[in-house]
Amino acid sequence: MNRLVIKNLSKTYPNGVKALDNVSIEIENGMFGLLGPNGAGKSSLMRTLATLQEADGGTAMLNDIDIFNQPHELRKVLGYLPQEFGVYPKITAEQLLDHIAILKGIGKASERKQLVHYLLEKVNLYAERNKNVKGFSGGMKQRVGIAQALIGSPSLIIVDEPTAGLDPGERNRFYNLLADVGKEVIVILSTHIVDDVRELCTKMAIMNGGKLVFHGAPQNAIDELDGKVYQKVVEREELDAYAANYAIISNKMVGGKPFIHVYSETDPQNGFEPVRPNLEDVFFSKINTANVLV
Amino acid sequence: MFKDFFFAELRYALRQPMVYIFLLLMALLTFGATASDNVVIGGAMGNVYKNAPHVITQFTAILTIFGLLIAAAYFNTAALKDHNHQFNEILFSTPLSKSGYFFGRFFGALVLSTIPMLGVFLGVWVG
Repeated sequence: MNRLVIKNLSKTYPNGVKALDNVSIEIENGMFGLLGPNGAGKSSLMRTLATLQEADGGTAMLNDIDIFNQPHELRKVLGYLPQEFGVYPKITAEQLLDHIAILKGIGKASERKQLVHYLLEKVNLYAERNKNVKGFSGGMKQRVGIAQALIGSPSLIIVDEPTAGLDPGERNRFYNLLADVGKEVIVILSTHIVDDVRELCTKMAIMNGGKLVFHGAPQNAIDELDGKVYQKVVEREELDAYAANYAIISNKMVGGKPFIHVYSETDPQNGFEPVRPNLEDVFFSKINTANVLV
Repeated sequence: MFKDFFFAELRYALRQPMVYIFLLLMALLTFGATASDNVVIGGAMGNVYKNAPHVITQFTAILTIFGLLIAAAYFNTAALKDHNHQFNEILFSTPLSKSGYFFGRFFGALVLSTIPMLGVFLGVWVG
């Protein structure tokens, strides 16, 4: 059983942006979803855990490795897939994985070859192993990325918005792969796609403005809102009036008309229908605390 | 770790045409200076042999100045290619050793920028 304990992590960038504000989380084996709008501090947190940048204050321990004082130890058990990554031109998938296997300290050539072939099989790229990674499609490149992160049997895998730019089919395949490996290690997955978290993660956290605004199981968060969310289709002109009178969670367009979700302890009448809350309502109710139109 | 970076650097650059182009260019210059009177680098005048040690030293000294430009190109690649190709985040999250990474790249680039200078002697020899 692996255990990642983060305590009071803070980071302020030189330009004054508070990327992490006193973040404390405990994470155990399994998929952990980190949800938040763009600029919430997800990437900062992940980059910090991947020892790519230093925090101003706080501690983070993986089992008994102190991430900030023993970064070298952590990197040995870390698999990291950055939000955006590139590769050198003219390097094939097999060469790339082999190169990274060397860096991760797998010295024996035969052992490395076996591992690389095994991973290529697993991510379904064995047939493409001698092609340049530069020429791969987004989904194939992302699968190379996950294969790369799996080298050296890591106990902490960090994937930062891995599905940005993938089509739905590729996305599913990617998540199946991740769920496969995620049973026995910690997988931290950041995303701004709410559905991803609902489908995959047993535990989640919502971040906004560098702060942790929710931490727990997705189902608990949904249960908390049960019976308190109401929906209505309104006219575009009335939208401002509704925003002033009700605690709006979210508004979106359905069939060209604004469709609003509001939060209310009691039935608001006035044509509102009760609705079973979904994770998206949770997400918006946590980050949109000022109840403004989005 | 040193070995891997060193040879990776060499292998990568030797598959590119740049190093050969520079080598040929250098060889061509000194070949011309040695074989023809119309090309003069430093120069052998009067009854000094065209392949006198002093003349060759002059060739080398003058062309090494241009060699600095070549070296700049190779060291630039060595230092910045991870960032340019956005591979740095993956690379720096692996347990690589600092010295192996740095010196592997450094000596790789050093050897690479020396290769074109060999062209000086190649040219003189052929000429």
